Amino acid sequence: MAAQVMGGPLVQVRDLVKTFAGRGTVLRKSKSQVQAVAGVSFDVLAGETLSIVGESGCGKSTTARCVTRILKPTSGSVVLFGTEISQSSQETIRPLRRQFQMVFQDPYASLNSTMTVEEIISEPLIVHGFPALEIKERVLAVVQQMHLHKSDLTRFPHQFSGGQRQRIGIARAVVMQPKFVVLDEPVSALDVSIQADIIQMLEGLQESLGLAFLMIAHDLSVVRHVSDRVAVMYLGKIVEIGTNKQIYEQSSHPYTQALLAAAPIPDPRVERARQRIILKGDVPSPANPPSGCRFRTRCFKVQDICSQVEPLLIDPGVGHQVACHFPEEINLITKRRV
Amino acid sequence: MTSHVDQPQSFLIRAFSVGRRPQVAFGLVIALFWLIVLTTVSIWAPYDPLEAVGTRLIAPSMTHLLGTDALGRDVFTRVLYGARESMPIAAAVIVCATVIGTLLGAVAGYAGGWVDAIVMRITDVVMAFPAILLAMAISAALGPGLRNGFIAILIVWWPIYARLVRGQVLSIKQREHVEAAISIGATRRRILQKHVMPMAITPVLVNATMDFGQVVLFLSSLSFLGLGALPPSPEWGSMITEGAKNFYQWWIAVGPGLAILTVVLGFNFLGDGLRDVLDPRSKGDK
Amino acid sequence: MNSLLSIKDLHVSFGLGLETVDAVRGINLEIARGEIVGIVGESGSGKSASMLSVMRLLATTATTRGTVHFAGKELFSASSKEMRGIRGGKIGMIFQDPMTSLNPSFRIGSQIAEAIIRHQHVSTKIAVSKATDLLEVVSIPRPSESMSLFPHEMSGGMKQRVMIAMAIANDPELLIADEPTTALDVTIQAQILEVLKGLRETRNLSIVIITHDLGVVAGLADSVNVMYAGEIVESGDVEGVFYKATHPYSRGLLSCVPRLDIRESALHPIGGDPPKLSEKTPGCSFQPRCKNAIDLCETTSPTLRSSTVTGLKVSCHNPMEPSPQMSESI
Repeated sequence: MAAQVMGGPLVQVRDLVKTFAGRGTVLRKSKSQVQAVAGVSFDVLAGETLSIVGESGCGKSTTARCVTRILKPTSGSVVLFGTEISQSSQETIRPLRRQFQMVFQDPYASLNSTMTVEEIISEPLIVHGFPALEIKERVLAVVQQMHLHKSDLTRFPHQFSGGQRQRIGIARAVVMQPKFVVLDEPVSALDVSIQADIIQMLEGLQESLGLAFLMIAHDLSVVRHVSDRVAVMYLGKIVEIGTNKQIYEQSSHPYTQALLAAAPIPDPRVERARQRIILKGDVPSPANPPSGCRFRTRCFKVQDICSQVEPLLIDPGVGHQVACHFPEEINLITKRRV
Repeated sequence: MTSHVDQPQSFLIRAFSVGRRPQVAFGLVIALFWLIVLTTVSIWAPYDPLEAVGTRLIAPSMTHLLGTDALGRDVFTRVLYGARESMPIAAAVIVCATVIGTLLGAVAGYAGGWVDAIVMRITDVVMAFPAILLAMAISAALGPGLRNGFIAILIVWWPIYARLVRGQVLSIKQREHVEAAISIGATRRRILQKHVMPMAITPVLVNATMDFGQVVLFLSSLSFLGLGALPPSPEWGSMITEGAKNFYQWWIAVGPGLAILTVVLGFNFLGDGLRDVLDPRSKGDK
Repeated sequence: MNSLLSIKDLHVSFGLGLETVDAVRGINLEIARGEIVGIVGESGSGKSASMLSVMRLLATTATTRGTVHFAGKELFSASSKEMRGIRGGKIGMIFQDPMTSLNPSFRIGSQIAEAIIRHQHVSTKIAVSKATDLLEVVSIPRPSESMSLFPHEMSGGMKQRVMIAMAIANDPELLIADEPTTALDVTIQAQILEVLKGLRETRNLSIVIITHDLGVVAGLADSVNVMYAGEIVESGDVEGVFYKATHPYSRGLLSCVPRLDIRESALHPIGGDPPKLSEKTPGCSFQPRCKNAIDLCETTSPTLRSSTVTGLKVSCHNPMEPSPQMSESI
């Protein structure tokens, strides 16, 4: 597009940090702060899908909300289409929002139940001052594209199923024909038979609109299917980032490996023959992360250095970036126990 | 299984089925009855509410359904006319209190920070006093009369709605659909108007309906204590005061007492029904 | 009789205002001792309602029909007192959200101990030591210290372990696990599944696992029942269902989920939406979404019958051919 430098990334996130004030108790007002996102950097290129995976509390949703400036980052930089927006006011960002949109996880909560479908889908256009005639045309076009019916426009969200609602949410996000859409767990609240529908629809949109996606997800199978590149987050930091193949077939960070080993495969023989990595314990509290490597308390490769020196996210010679002192490439998906 | 039993019932169907519940129907009938009385009583009332129309203190009979009071006025007529005294003022209190409370509560909840702190401390101060005492003090300072009664009740009533709306706004602005509105670039004003308030207003409507009876009661209480309506006017509270002076002529107090009772009860039921119509998720009773 | 739990022609319906919702529409299920049975289905398929009705834990708005025999005893005609003895005694149960079943104001140790005392009438001292052992069994670190924790001091995965400990506290013969890992992260899910597998091996426990996750079933279950709209549409041993399924819904379900180990170019969505359970149709409830539907499907509802080709039970008028590609995997 015009605003962006030729060939440069659409989105550039550097050292993103988001801190929330910690909750104190009644007697002791805690001044502790929780670093939900603790220095995250990545790019999203035009037309690609970058997925951020991780377990609950790893900061992936907060990252998404900082990129779309629903939240204001504590520090770091977020450059969208060549414009730095991390600390800008909502008024300054507003014109830029035509080009980036967001799809939310919960198709029930993310639609205003007091508005009709038409009001919901046309709202972005109204907000950005499109002429009435064009609004009508665009809404009709997107409704068709989303396999909704024209008569659905006058109905209210609660009259639709989860999958249909999510299509309404997607329609709202793409009606302005943005170039970049953040998908926050777009299918995790849906039934499995509906998920494939939505995924296909998103893929179709990506193709027809040349969209770039930043997808937040925890389902590794879905991520494998849709992503060009994948970033794995743990406790507010990216621990490994690479292409789909690098993450799924050449993963080098023990956490990525544990995630892959734990994600079940719907195939009894394959599933029962797989190599298991069962991690010990739980994710530590982000209010009090471990020293050194944040994953060391659960890591099966932990050594003394891990508690003292924090591994940096660099390419340790495996072709993609890994934050680990002892990276070792393993293909967990085809390797089997004998 | 998750919450998948979301039946797409239309508003009207829901209203109809809720309206058939005996309690709600009772509330509707009461409200309708008093509304008709309020608007048309001067046309068909048997007597003049302020004139002596018979002997003093006659027991109820066919000519005087609720007997006569100490000045020979027909109690039944006065009870009917009483609706014209209390109910418009109660309605005015509710309307003004909801408007003021909603505005201040919405601004406080949405803006947060020092605006919120100031509004909330004011409500704290008002609500720290027992409502009836504060209202009495205010009316006493302003002098008796229904207009001053109105002002007194309004002052003690709006903070309820301010707190209610603020709480609603605080919780609604965390929801995903508000995040969605931010992400499409909606202005703060639009978000408040379109995405927060329509949802915050439902409990206000319900509470306002339920409170209507309470305000009528409150107003009568002030009048009963000699602070609201002035003597000749057929206000229910002041009629009960008269009844108290003529303790053995029970009908003088029973008439207005019943009137107050039905209004309080009726609007309470009506509010219950309204909640179920507006918010299908909360099932009031099974 | 060989089976531990035997469900015959179970129907469950809920009264919802003017409508009745038929959540379970005549299912038959046999569970053998030491067997892990998976019930797979999407939301609204009746998988939870069927098992809750077995435990007689449904709301009063629900009506049930059919018979349930557990270890020779008919449960629907048992007295409330007998049921209280069976629930948490011979049958343990864990749910998706462990928080709903743990009392936030008591330490977990005393909650487990109480469950033991209620059923076994032993002294507090013995109950506490048994409870500590149970925490060990479900792999909670430092069991004796963890006894004095409150539920809110534990993570979701730890709470689910406590739930399992409570469910097995009285040496049940059957454990019903209703979406036990759905609310948990995948690494925690793996831990919990290991615990469940261990329980079957060490205690010969029968487990019914209710889930929407085919992967969980693939790794854990011996036999699988696929439910759709209140009916079992296909059932059989786990490899049979995964490799030789012929019901269009089971096949659709298996091919619409992306797989971790295969990067396919396209997904195959089933299309359409799950049916409304308040609407009754004369024919097969999957027919509106079915690509294999024939005229008969519109008018007559199929019954679950053994297929001579696959050895599975399938409820379909026009089943698909067993897929060669699926059965040859590996």
